[in-house]
Amino acid sequence: MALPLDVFVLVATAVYVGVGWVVGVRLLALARRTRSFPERALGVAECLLAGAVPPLFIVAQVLSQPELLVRAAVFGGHLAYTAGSAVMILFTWRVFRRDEGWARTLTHVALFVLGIGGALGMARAFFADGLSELRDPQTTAFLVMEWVSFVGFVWTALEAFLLHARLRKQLRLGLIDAVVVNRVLLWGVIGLGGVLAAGAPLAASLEGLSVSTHVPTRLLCALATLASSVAAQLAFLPPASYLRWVRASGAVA
Amino acid sequence: MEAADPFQFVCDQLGEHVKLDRLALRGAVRLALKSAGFEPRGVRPSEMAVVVSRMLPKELTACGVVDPGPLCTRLAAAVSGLSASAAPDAPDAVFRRLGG
Repeated sequence: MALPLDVFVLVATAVYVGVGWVVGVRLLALARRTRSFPERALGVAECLLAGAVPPLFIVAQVLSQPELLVRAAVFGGHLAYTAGSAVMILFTWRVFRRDEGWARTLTHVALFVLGIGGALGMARAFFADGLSELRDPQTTAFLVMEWVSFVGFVWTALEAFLLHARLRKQLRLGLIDAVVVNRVLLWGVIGLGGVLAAGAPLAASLEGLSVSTHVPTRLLCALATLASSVAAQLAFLPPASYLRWVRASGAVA
Repeated sequence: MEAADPFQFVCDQLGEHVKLDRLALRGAVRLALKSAGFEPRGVRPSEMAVVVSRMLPKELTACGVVDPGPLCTRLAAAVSGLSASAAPDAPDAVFRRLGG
């Protein structure tokens, strides 16, 4: 019973990592041309959160020796998760609410809390006793980081869906390209995927369940990451046939 | 051509031709913008022209203005002649760029 789920989780993770690197590198190449913050932030976030975090934590969970490598993977995983979540929150603030005081405050508070959680998590890589303590995915430090990430994804998903509702009205007047409207919708789906992928382990932790073995949590996380991967691919590196379909059908909802 | 705020421009022009108080006028223009998916801040002249010609007549009629069509047509032509100011990175512009 566990085997098909393990395979599904592995495939979903592999797709997530692969799409993360491809999309992230593409956005960073775009940022080199435009010299703009949003594409650079998103490129870094994709490379770190999708491309680097899962492999590093898998190394920490699977390998036993050399211990130095396991500790380096735990350190790198926490560093990548902290930095990736931070740039994701900065992206949301700068793109959607650049001039709003409450958004600036929310961003600063989130980054402060994230920084503390991240620093504690990275410190554990040096000071934790033994592999089981190193591998514990439900430490206070990691839960703090996961909460901040959850809030960040809720925020970006809400902003995307609100913007999408406005852009649909513009689309009806022929004032915007259907592909741009669809891209905003897909960004909302990516945000929603992040909400589920961060929220499911948090809910499991609150219920006192083990994130590593609780089947519904693992299944939900795998489905969320898979949906995020598909949405990221279609949003930032879509096949020409998909663009034709969106333009022809006005598929924005 | 000077860069101007299209929302302010339309409100000022309407104020000269329509006997409505300032708040009601601005409210009508805001409602027209909202029904087209725009906010007063950041709307471009070309977009404002479409809003004025297609959405504003209905809002002005609801305020009791009789036959606002011709006025809105003239106003749309005037606002489309404004030069666009260097707008900050609007969200829709960012997502347009992210497609490469």
